[in-house]
Amino acid sequence: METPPNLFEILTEDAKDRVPVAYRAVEPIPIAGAPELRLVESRSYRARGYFCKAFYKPVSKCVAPEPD
Amino acid sequence: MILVLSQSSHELTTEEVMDWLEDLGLPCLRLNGEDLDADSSWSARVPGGDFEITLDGRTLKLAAGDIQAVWFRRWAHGRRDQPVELILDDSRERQEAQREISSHLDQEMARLSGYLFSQLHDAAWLSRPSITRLNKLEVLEEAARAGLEVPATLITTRKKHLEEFMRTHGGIITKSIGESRALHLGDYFHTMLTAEIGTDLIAQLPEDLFPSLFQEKLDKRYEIRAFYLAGELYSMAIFSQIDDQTRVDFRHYNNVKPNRVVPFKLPADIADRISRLMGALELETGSLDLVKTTDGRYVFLEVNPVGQFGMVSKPCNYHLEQRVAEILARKARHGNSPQPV
Repeated sequence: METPPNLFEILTEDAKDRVPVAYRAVEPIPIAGAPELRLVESRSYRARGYFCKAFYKPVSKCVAPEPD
Repeated sequence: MILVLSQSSHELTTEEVMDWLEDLGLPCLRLNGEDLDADSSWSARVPGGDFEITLDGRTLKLAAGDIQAVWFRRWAHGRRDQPVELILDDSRERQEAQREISSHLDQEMARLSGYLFSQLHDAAWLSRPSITRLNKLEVLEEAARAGLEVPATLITTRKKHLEEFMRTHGGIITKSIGESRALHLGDYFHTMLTAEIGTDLIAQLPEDLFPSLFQEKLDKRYEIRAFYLAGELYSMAIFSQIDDQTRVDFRHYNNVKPNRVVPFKLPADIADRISRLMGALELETGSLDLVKTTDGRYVFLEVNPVGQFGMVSKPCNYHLEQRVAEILARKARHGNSPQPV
């Protein structure tokens, strides 16, 4: 994936002097390179889905069918 | 009934706590902030009306009298207008109108959420939403009053003062005054975490700056992430210092070779000061960041009242999800009065 311009670099020259100094250190992180996402079909009265990071233990009940 | 207020994404732990609540035999209901608009239909009659919410064709009555305890985990507004353009035209004038409409819709949703929370005022809460938005600078003041060491900090619009601060401390970092943001642009998140700045960068700055926060750069032996839960403190040491990617801020995660982390017990006097701080902030939960310096000091950095705790719970086998459920169960049965769990 081609490295994108830093957010600070695409600001106008006027804007560069009008944002917090922290903007000069903003780092682009590719969304595709983030930890794998797991979209879990949950019970309807709970979540639509949530992130599952490397250390996260999936909850098997979340993928179970809705109880009658 | 225990009501869990959460959000539908970026939320790792809500489901696990609910599973533990089920295990304890306590009925619970999860309501995501997004449910108030994006994915549901509902009505409430004022005054005193109960909320009637339909999610995925299933209608639920949310009666305040049926809710004994509320866990305010997180809350993100969804808006059904978000996938669409509000105004067709990209002229500057209409872009401004679009921003104003968006701001107004956010405000409407915030007021609605506030009304929902107020209707649940008599329940026992684990963290009330009104105290979960902290001011980082006020927290530093409060931490110092509680006896915790905090980093030398400067907020300034003057380059001259920044240069003096740099000369005094040798190395400095900058970060947001408020919460850090990940700005979404194309296929990338542009993250605004703690970053070291050097004399080269300072030389490029204009004389007058946007108000910016700077702190002394601490020589770390390791970082500590602690989770405070109703008087209990669970800590983890993070060996972020030996990896260039995570050296300044462990949240520049190295997913290929993650930092080594181990369970950690803070000294009793530091734990006492943290308890004092959390008491002063009226917080029952919070993820705290501290640094153990190479010269042996414990320096408090910040606290996030709704920070993630799975990252501490899992590697350290603290089973915090179970503990949160037990505390919610206690609150549901006994209110806020202190009872052993």
